[in-house]
Formats: sequence, structure tokens, C-alpha cells
Amino acid sequence: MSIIHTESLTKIYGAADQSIPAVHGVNLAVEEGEFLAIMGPSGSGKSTLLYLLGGLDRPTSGRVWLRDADLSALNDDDLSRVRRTALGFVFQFFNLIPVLTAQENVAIPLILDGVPRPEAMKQAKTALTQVGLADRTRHLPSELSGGQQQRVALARALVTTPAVILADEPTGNLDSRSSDEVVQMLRRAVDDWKQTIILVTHDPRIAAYADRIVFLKDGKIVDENHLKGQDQGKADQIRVQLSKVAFS
Amino acid sequence: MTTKTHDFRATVWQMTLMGLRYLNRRRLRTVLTTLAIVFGVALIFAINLILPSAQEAFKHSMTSITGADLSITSASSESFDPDPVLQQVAGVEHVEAVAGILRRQFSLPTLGGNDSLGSTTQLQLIGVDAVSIQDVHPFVMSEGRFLQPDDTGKAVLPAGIAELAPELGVGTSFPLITAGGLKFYTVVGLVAEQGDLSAPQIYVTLADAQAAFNQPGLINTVEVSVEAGADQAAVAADIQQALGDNYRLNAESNTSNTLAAMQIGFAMFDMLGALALFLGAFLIFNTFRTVVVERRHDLAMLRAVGATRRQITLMIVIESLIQGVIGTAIGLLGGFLIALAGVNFMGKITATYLNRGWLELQLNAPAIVGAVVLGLATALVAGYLPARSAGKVAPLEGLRPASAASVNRAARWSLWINQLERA
Repeated sequence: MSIIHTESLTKIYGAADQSIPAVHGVNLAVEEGEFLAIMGPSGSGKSTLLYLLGGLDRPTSGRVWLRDADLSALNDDDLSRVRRTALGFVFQFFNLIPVLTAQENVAIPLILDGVPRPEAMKQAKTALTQVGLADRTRHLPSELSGGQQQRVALARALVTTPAVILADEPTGNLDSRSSDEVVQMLRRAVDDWKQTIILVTHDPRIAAYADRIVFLKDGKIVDENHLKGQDQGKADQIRVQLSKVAFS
Repeated sequence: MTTKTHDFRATVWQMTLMGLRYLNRRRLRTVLTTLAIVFGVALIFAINLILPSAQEAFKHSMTSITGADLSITSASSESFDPDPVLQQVAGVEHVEAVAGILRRQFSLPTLGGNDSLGSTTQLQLIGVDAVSIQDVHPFVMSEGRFLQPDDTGKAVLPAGIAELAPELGVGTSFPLITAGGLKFYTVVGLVAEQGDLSAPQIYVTLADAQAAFNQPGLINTVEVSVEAGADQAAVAADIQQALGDNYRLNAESNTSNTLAAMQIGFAMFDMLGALALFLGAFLIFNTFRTVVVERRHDLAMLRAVGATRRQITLMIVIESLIQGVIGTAIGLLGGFLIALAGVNFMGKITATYLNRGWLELQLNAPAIVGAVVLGLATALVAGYLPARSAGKVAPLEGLRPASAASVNRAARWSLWINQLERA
């Protein structure tokens, strides 16, 4: 059963003769507990598709369904509620609040949802423990390394036990060791906690951790690769496939 | 798991915490912005504390200097026979005391030298009944004595005359050209009043004044003291009815005029306070406009993880209110200290000129509530518009590089005020 799916999803930037279709008639279904990677060359519409799936942007036409909810039809308040309760986000540049400690940053979605602060802080500490940062709860983002900051962001995405976690180039700003740590945690979230994850990346090595890869070009899905059961370390194979998509 | 009990207080507390930390990160800017609120609240609070005290002291002092509640003159401004008028007025209910006086303005030739009135060119010579006038005007002497019924050629001057004629004092004498020729008056006392030094009031006996003006047996003013607690307007109406249209009643207007002038003066200080608050509002408005631009990324990120527009607006409003609360609290304290210093200073003035050496600072609820409401409302109103603008930040704005146009627009708007703040 798909937890999130789209119907002819289209996003066009600009008006009339200067319009640029970033996403064009995409039909995509993601199963519950699936780890999906979206790949494609620069400007293919990967991030735009992710923002549409996460209710961060509104489609020009088409629909996004999260279970039974049509995200494209929700008003701003309802969409905000969906984002803080049913979706988790991890971005390339960590996007933590600089004046809040790691624990407070993780607790933010809960507090915004009206969870009493002590309870929110308790759940935040649990989430930080899950990502291996139990000893960094009182640190400000500026006191953490890039990898640690991204793990805080991951804990923030996990803390509400959302239906789907959307990750936009989560390793794009990290060294290879930190990248591995982060993507392994994402993999563990899927395997151990049955979390659904949609990940945008341009790195075949990171995409190799996914169950399925969809390739985007010019806003359209042009190829797909099911990795489950395969050797997920075959990044080279993915790299070749990505090159074919880019130059096709 | 997320619990379903919605705790609004948790959200407000978190917003307050974030507001405090953001303010702490920009301490100089926070201090400068808050100072404008402090000045405005302090000034307005101080003025509204001092004003009632000053008015009270002034009213009290005025009763001990001129005293008369009502003043009666003939409709034609001519002198008249005192006996029938004094008897009629004294018979009116709630009239406490009456006194007949003969008062005239004098223009003086510049005599100069010793035994003169110095630089005085005009004076009021007031002839009084030495006994009955004390019932209407309880004169307070700063030196010497008041007039006695059998005095001749004696005068009482205001203490402030020393500013115009330093050589004049008790025991000295000065000349006046009267209807009967040049006449010398010996100073027997100084009353503790400043009076109008452009035309000093010189008190002599009624007989001496009548001789000086060649108006034997006549007066031109009756001064009336009304019983305490009586309705002064009703008493005035009764007197007017008893005397008829040939006489004119004037409520003693000096006091109210002076009080009105005092209120205008204080109102001007209030305006300065309001101006400071307006400046505060302007600073807060500009600061938070800058804040919204600076923090666009953070705001967008909060929106991305589920903050509603209302929550973002609330966050900025709370931050603005924090400055309002801190500024108002410090402003109240500062205003109280200014008021203390003010009454201390004014006490010295009243001791010199109003024969009253102290002022009592009256902490009153309207002054406190007014200052608090003004301080908080200023912060709230000034912070609200930028806060609304913050609420409109889209989640995606934090995930993409800031558009140069929007940054430039905001930068232009806030440039000069930031320069001011950094100065």
C-alpha cells in the first residue's frame, strides 16, 4: 500500500512564454517502509519534486496524496499541521535554529504541536540517543560538527515518528565519513523502525543504500531501479545508469 | 509518540525563550532599542507623578498667600463706600470672612539710588484693613511683622523685592509720589511670597492708601473667603444676587491661571515623553523589519517543520513585547527616581517662593497604569507589522539562497536607522 503518491504532478515556474516546467506530470507511488532515492542531473526537478511531496511548495496542477489527505487541497494551517506531525525533513544545510540547543531543536516540532515542554524534551533526548548524540543535548549547533548537526536534524525529523521523512541532499555538505554515518542511520530507520524515506541525492554511493531509485530528467521520471535484494554497494552500476539518463 | 494534548503555554514559553536568546545575541541593538521605551515611559511616568504633587503644593501655598476665594469690584470699576457692601456680603450664607481693600497700580519715575525701589517701574499699592485682611489672607511673614491698625507711613513688601532692590529691607524706607505729595514709607515686614515682580504688591494700611489716592473712606475691592467645603459657585451666585448688577464678582483667577499654566508646562513634558515613545516605536519597527530579513532562513525553517503563520507572528510579537516589558519596567523605576529628584528640586523652589519646604510624592494608579499601557502598547504596535510580515515567510525561502532584491529592499529601508544604532 502506498503511503504517498502523486497524480500528474506538475510545477511550472514563471508565467506564459517564460514558463519553466520543473516537474511535469509525475506519477509516483511510495510504499510504506520503503527507502526511495530520487536522482537526476542538475535542474532535473529532484528537489522541486521533494518539496511538492513534503507540502513545502504547491503544485501548478496535479495532486499529492499522503495516505487519504490531498496535500494540494489543504489550507496553510492544515498543511503546517501535516508538516509537523506526519512529515519529517532533513536538508542539505542542516537548518537548525542557532539559538536553541540540540535537544531544543529536536523538540521544536513537538512544542509547535502543543506537546508540554517536559514531555517534548524527554522525547527529544530519546531521539538524540537514537542518532548517537546523547552526550550533546545541551550543545548549540555552532558547537557541533557538520555531521553532528545533520544527525540532530535527523533526530528532529524522527522525533514525531512521521509517516514519511524527506531528505534533500542530506550528505551534500558532509565529508565521506559523516555521509556514511548519516545514510546508515537513514537505512536503520527504515529497517528497524519501518520508517518511509524519500531521499534526493546526486551521489550514487548514497543512493545505493535505497530500496529503489527513480531517475528524473527535465521534470519527468525517465527510469527506475529496484535495488532490494541486490548488492547495494554497486554504486558504479548506479553511476553508469545516471550517466545514461543524463546524456540520453 | 506525539501526545494529543495541546499545550499553548509550551509554545508561548518556547517562543519567549527563543526571543530572549535572539535578543541576547544582539545585545547592543537590543539595549538601544529598549532605551527608547525606557526614556519614554520614564518621562511620562515621572511627569504624572510630579504633577499632582506640584499642583497640591501650589494650591496649598496659594491659599496662604492671596487666600481670597472671591473678589468683588464695582461694575464701573470705581471706588465705593465699603460699609453697605461688606455688610451685605458678610450676611450671605457660607461666607467666612470679608475684607475691603483699595488697590491701585502705580507707575514710578526712576528714582534710583538709596531709599528707592531699585529697578521697579510699576507697583501695586494695596491698602488693607490690618485686622480683617488676616481673616481672608493669612499672611506668612518671612521677616518683620505685618501691618497694625494704627500704623501710619508703614509698608509691607514681598520678600522677592530683594531681587529688584537689594538695599530695601526691614527698617529702611522708600518714597512714593502720592496725591498728597512725596511720601516716605518705612518697611516693617516682608511677606513670604514671590508675587508678581513686574508690579510688586506693597501693602499699607487702608487709611494710608486712601490718603495716597485721595479717596477718603472708599475702597475698590472686597475680598471674600468662603467656608471650607461650601459650593463656591453657589455662594458667588448668592452674593451676586444680594449686591445686584452694580457689582461684579470674579473668582480669584490667579490660582487657576497659574495652575493651568503649570499643567500646560507639564503637558509639554508629557509630549516629550510621547515623542520618545514614538521614537521607540519607530526603532522597534525598524529593528524588527531588519530582524525578519536577517532571520528569514530560521523563520522559513520553522515554517518547514510545521510552525503556522500565526505562531511565527506570535514569536516576533513576543520578542517585541519582551523589549516592551523590560523597557517599561526600567522606565517605571527610572521615572520614579526622576520624580523623586524632581520633587526634591521643586521642594527647594517652593521653600523659597511658596513658603512650603516639601512636596509629597504621590504614587497613583493612573500614572502607573498609563505608563505601563503606553510602554507595552508601543512595543506591541511597533512589533506587529514586522511580525505579520514574518508570518508570511514561505517555508521554501529558507531552503533557497536569499533573493538579492528582497535583501536590498530591506537593507535600503533599514540602512540609516542601523547606522544610527551603531553610532
